[in-house]
Amino acid sequence: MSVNLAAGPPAEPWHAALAQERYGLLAGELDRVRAAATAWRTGMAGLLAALVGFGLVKGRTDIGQLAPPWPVVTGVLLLAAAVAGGAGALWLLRAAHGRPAVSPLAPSLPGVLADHLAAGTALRDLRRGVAATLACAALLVAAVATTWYGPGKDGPRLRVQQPGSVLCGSVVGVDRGRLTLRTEAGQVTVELGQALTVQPVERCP
Amino acid sequence: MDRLPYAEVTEPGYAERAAATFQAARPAPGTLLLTGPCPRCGTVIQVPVVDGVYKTTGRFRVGGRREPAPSERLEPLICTCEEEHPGRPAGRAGCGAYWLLRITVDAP
Repeated sequence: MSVNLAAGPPAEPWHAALAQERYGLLAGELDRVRAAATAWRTGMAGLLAALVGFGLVKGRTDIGQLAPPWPVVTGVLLLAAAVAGGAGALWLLRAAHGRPAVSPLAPSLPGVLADHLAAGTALRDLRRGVAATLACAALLVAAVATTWYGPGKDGPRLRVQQPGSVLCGSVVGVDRGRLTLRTEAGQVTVELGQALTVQPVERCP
Repeated sequence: MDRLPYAEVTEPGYAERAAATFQAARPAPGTLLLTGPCPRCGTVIQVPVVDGVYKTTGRFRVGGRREPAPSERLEPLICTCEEEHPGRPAGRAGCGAYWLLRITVDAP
C-alpha cells in the first residue's frame, strides 16, 4: 500500500471548524465507548436479574419429572446459557474497563490514535457482549419453558403376577376387587384375589 | 522567546509544504498517521486521519458495516501541536493553521 499526498484546493474557515471537531471527537472517543459499555453492562445485568424474578412464577421446577429426552435438552440449554452469559459478562467488562494486561508501548503512535484503536477493540467487545448476553437470556427462557411445558414422565406401572401369567401396565382403575391395566396388548382386567404379587415398577419390560 | 499566537489561518503554501514534507503511515486498517512539521508554527506534529469515529451511545461505527473509504479523499487538516500558543480557545488544538490535503491510497 502506498499513500500519496498532494495539496488540495484553498481551504475555507469551515474546514478548520470541521477538522477541530473531528480531532475533538477522536480525543474523547475512548471515554464515550467506555461510558456506553458501562451503561450496557448495567442494562444487561438488569435484564438477567429480571429473568431471575420471572422464574419466581413457578411451574415445574424439577427436570427429573420430565420425560426423556427433555431433561437432557434442558441441561444442554442451561449449559449453553451459562457459557453465553459468562462470555458476555467478560466481553462487557472488558469493553467497559479494558483488558487487565500491560499493553506494549508504541512510541510512534500518538495517544489519540492509540485511544482510537482501543476504542475500536472495546466496541467489538461491546457488540459481542450484548449479543452473548441476549443469547444467554433467550437460552434461559427456553430452558425454563422446556421445564414448565415439556412432557412429563409417565406414572408408575404395576406388575401383577398371577398363576400362569405376568401382566404389566398402567392402572386404569379398580372396581369391586378387579384391577384394570392398560398393557401393550390393550386393557386387561385382573381379579386381585387371584394375584400372587403386585409390584410397582418404573417401566414394563 | 515569543510564542506564535493562536490564529485560525490558512495560506496556499500550507497545503503545498505539508504535501511535500509529511510522511504517511498506516498503523491499522482505516487509519492513517501523517507526520511532519506544521507549515505555520514548525512543530513536528502527528495528525491522525481515520475512516470513522464512535460519536454517540446509539451508533456503532468502528468495525461495523460501513462503506469503504474512497481511495482518494480531500481531508481538512489542522495543526495538532501541544505547544502553548497564546489566545488558543478552550477545546481547540494546535496553533490554528489549517489546510486541505488530497490523500490517495493505492492498494498493493
